[in-house]
Amino acid sequence: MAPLVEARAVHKSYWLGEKEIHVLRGASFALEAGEMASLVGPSGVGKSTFLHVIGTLDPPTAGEVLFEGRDTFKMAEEELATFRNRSVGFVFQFHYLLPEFSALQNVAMPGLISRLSREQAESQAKEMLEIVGLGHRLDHKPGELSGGEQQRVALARALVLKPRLLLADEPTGNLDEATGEGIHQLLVELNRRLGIGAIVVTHNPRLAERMPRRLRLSEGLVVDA
Amino acid sequence: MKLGPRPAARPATVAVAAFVLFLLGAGLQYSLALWLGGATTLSRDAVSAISFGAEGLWFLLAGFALSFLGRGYRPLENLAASLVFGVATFFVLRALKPPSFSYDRFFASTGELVVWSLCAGGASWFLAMWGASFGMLIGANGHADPRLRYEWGIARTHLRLNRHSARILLVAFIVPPLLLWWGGQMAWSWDQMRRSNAGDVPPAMHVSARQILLIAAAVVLVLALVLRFIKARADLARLHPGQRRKRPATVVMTGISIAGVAVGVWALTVVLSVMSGFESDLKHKILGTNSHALLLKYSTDFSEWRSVLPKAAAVPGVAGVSPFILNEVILSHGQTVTGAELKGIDPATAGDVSELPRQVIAGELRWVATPQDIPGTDRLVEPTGEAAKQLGGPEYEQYLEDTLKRRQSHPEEAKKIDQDALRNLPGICIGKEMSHQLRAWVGDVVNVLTPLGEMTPTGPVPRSRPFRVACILYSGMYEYDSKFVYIGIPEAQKFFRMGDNVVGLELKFTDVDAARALGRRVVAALGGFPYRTKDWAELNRNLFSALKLEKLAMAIILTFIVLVACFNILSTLIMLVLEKTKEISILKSMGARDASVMKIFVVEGLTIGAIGTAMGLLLGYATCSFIEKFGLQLDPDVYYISNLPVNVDGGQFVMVAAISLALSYLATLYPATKASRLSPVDGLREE
Repeated sequence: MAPLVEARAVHKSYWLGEKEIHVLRGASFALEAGEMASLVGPSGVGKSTFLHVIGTLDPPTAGEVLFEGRDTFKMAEEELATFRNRSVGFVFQFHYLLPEFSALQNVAMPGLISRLSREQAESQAKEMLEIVGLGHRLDHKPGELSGGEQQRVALARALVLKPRLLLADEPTGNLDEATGEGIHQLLVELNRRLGIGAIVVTHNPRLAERMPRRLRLSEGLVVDA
Repeated sequence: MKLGPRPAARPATVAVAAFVLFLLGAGLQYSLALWLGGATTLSRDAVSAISFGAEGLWFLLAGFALSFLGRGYRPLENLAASLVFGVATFFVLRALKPPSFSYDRFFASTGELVVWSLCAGGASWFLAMWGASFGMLIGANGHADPRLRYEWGIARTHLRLNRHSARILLVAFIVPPLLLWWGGQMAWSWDQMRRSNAGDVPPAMHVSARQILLIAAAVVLVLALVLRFIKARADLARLHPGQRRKRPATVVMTGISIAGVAVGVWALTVVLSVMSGFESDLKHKILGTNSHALLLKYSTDFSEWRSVLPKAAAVPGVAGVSPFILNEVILSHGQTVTGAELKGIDPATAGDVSELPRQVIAGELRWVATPQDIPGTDRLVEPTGEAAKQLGGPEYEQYLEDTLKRRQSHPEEAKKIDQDALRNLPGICIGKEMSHQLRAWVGDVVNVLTPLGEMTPTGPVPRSRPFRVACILYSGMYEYDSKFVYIGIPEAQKFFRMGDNVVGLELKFTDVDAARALGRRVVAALGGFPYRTKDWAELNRNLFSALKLEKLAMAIILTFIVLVACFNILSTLIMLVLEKTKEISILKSMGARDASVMKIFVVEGLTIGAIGTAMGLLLGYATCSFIEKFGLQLDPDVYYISNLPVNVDGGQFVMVAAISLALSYLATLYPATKASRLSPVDGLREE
């Protein structure tokens, strides 16, 4: 059986004026369904770019990304959108919640995008917010939540449609130690409970240590640490 | 949902399909125009408007269908098809060249043909792209999805449309038009009060008492709203800790865009209403004196008119028929001489084809046939009737008084002719301006001279006959009131020595605007040649084509105001896209389709356009009602109308709204398409 997600010789380069910057130089790796991995590496090495390519937000310069055996970048625009909607969940360093909407509405958004009815989307969102421990703050706007709470809402939003892959880009990077610890525990618990495959980029070596699998990005390649 | 990749059609397929669809559209226009022209009584303008409208709609639909076939705009393929279409149009137009005597010499020169072909090609491309944008909007590159749910929610947050802003909008919606409308009402009742002579108890006093109450209520309402607003501001200042409330530039720009559209639409509706007021006023006056059409003959002999008359009257759509004779004469009274158009009419049926009987301000139209009833010069016939009320004024009273005095001091006619002969002189009706010029009133004797009189050995000698003034007419058109005089048909036949001939028949139709087509029907019912008709628009072509051109020019110039306002929408949306780049990226990372992102911004632009348009229309309507009630004074010597005329035409308002919304939609396309093509990482990379 094909792995959940597989990168094959992924190259990614940017043009900065006249200069070509090679971020990924043939990175390859595979993640099994339900597997959880941490990704570490110094700043600016291309961890975010790698996550974006894996999550189909950014097409690679060369190489391919297979999700359950299918080449994601060969999909048409609509298919790709549905894929992002159903199969992948993103959590970023900044929560990136929509400030004018309440926590519930933010978490219901992926459901609304997949054209669920408002009631369905909101009941799923409520369920997921209760799982992340925010059942009591449904109607608060992001501005009225603490940093840790905001990141929990973002996590709930990423997981509300039960994707098979979670991509988290330094989810604790903006939080203090204790709050970050809490988010991490939640990630591990959700991975166990929902069976979601996850790649978590982190700068915190202690948190990275606790992951079942540890990856390192260096010189444009992904290696098991 | 099963998604299979559906490949886009090849370029050649798209181009050929586009060309075939364009050709079908042109064929649709041509056959529709032919069919409408033959089967209905619509005017020529209406036929071209409907047929070209249908063609435009067809092109939109074609572009829409092509976007699904080609899975995108496919501008190059459409351009190729449009170019070929333009060339084809050139050759078809050249083949269709109408005969040289046709008065619309549209396709006269090759230069014009080229211009028209370019227009056809350009329009087909533009409309196809426009139609394709609808396709892209509902996801032509995949499965069609016209739903607008979370997209509207997000658009609303971009526009800051919430209960608070809705309230502000509502006030802006209602207050200015209400004030205008109210001003008009006040001016009107003030005028009424003044007119109902400042006598005993002015009935308007009650009205103004009620109005004072209303004003008080309005003041209280406005104060309450202002207080509420101040309170809301104060509440805003006390924000939750850690929360920053700022107003982004885009919110201000949104407001400015709405105001821009509103001002453009306002100007457009008011000016068009005033212009169509002028037009309908003129039409009313011309059709008051003239019939809708003349039935003439390519021959001087029309002695069979008595048998033709019932036949013409029996044609469906004909409301009245009356014979007439027209000739140029000279009128004299005392020392004054003036040229005139003498029209022989049948007083019994003249009212069926024109407003003549209702234009009488003194005397009676039927006295033309029964001159014995015309009162003598010993007493003054007072002005009566609806038309006379419009005159009034001290100047006119003075004129009437002078007439009476003049008669008492110079009873010349009475001396020259004995009373019996005087009583039997035939009657003549003259216009109000001519009555001024000749200083003749009802009962006076005027001499009518025809230059083409008897042939004598010394050459032609004019023939002259005395007539007695039977009535004074007032049409409101200076030209008519100073030129036209009317006598009975038998008198005219005798005077011009034409036996039992008439010049033609005047026709009145049930539908004025169908005059041309109905005229053709009458001619057909009479067997065609040698009969022919000339309708009112043809008889007054210069006047009406000048008016139409003026109105069109005005409409185009003012549409530019709306166009400029739509550039406001464009720049506001571009700002919004820049401001919301991050949000677009997040939505896309959550799986929002390109079409959904496009929808968000199109809906925003359309909302701005719709709010502005609605405001402009309301304001325009209120302004029209204000002008109507307030009665802006015009110089009557120049315009022959005392007040600025306004004609509020619902169709015109709908047209303006459609233009404004269409332009708003077009303005959204560039920013919306840009936004939809943003990559998800564009907004995520920034931090």
